Amino acid sequence: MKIQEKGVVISNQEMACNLHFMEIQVPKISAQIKPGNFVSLLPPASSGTFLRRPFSVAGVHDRALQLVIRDIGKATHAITSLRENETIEVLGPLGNSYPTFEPDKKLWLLGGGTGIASLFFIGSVHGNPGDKILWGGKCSCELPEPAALPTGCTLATNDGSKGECGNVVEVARRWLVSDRPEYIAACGPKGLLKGVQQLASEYNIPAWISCEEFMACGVGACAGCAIPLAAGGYARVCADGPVFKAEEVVL
Amino acid sequence: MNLSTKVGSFELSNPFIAASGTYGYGTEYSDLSPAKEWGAVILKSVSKNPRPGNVPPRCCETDSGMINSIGLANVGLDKFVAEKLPSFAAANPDALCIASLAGETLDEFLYLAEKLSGIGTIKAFELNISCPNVAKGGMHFGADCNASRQLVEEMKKISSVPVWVKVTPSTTDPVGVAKVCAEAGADAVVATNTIPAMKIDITRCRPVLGNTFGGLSGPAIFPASLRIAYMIHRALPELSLVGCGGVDCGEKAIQYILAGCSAVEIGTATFRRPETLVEVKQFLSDYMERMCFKTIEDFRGLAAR
Repeated sequence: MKIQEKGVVISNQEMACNLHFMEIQVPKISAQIKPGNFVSLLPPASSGTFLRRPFSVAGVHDRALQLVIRDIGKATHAITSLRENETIEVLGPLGNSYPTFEPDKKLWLLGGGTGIASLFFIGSVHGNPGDKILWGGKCSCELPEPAALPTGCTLATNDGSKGECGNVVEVARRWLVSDRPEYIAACGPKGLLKGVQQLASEYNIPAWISCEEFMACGVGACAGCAIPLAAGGYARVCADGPVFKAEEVVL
Repeated sequence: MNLSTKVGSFELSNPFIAASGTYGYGTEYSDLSPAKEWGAVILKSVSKNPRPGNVPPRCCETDSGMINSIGLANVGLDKFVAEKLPSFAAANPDALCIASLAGETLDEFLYLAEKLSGIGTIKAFELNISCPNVAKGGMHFGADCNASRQLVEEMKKISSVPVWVKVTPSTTDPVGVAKVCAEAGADAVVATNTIPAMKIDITRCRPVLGNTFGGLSGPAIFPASLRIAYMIHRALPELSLVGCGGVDCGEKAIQYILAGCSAVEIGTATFRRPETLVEVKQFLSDYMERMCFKTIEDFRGLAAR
């Protein structure tokens, strides 16, 4: 059930340059949210923007949603400027969720930028000791310090300035020389997702990707967030996704 | 407060109608703004054959609204009848449902009307002759007085439910189009639809929308659409009129009624705030009490006299 709830900002930390980790208390939505779901926030009026903004959820803590938000425009600036105890309108849970991965099977989570959020969530739920989380950014300033990360999370930067050197797909490819997961889940920029599609098909590993597209309604009514399907036609990222089998969509 | 109203012979419990294309097939918003709370809901335009819709990106934001170029993506008539209408009816037994028809040609419109006539769920047709995002039909139809007249005349011959015509703001003579629709027997005119618009990405140096152009909606278009509704009412006071364009609060909805509209469609505002309907109903009720208006008719068109 989709719920509209006034959220209270519990915490807001800048974990890397312009990258915020926010906890927003919404008891009803928190009770229902699943890994892969997203919520849409109504940016504060000061933003001067019109539509809501979709964000995937990194976890739930004490009836609060954990969100990873990069301050990249008027709307995200207004949201990431909110302080403790300030409120914001939240709509959720929206979209589909990741499938239930068998607990005894290894899962690799490949994320870029704020796309890491939903991977943290599915990673914490799955919890196999062989799971790996790989979080990539262009350079060290885009990513937090390793101490702030969940166990099993490795960082990667294109220039090697923090964590492994290379983009997420390149690093995963290196890992595949000596290890292999049963499943892959990925979220991030299109280039990363395309790389994961290729990797998954090459190694024949079932993979799910969480997609992003500009959204208007976020609930499946307007068909504005269309993504092309390999089988022809389009799916709505907000209602048929955001999680798709990697081979299902055309990026 | 009595918020009931009549659009022609069509009775609504309140004047607010979910605009086509913004309310899906009537079930997507059931948790947030259920169909039974609306005076009526207009489902996504249906065409004879399924339409995949335009190349993404299909929408973007503007200062006070958004531009969409969905391209009448829809499941097509067969699936609409076999799946979408029954799902809607099962979930919303108390709601009034209007079907929006999108034909590329006169024959297609008539085919749709014929196949949908007699389906009890549908209480009226809204003819979409004002979509800016398709190559054929749409606003090309609606800007042509002769084509509009013929369409409405033929539709009236075969339709068992009221026929509303949603007119485009993109013509030099919207009153002329409304006049031919009225003469041809339209039960109501809906004024108006989105306004053709575009946005350019200055980093990519390309238009944002996959289709280059789209239709502007949201508060940005309210004053322009209101003017057209007002002009149509002034010219054709007997014609039932539905206001559409930019309503995101009760104050704007009341302006449409004062301009002569019997009902008001709300669309883009629901994307932003699904609670808009509840709020506009409350605002209207408070306004009528404050102004000592007992019914919508008491103040409809007052500003145009």
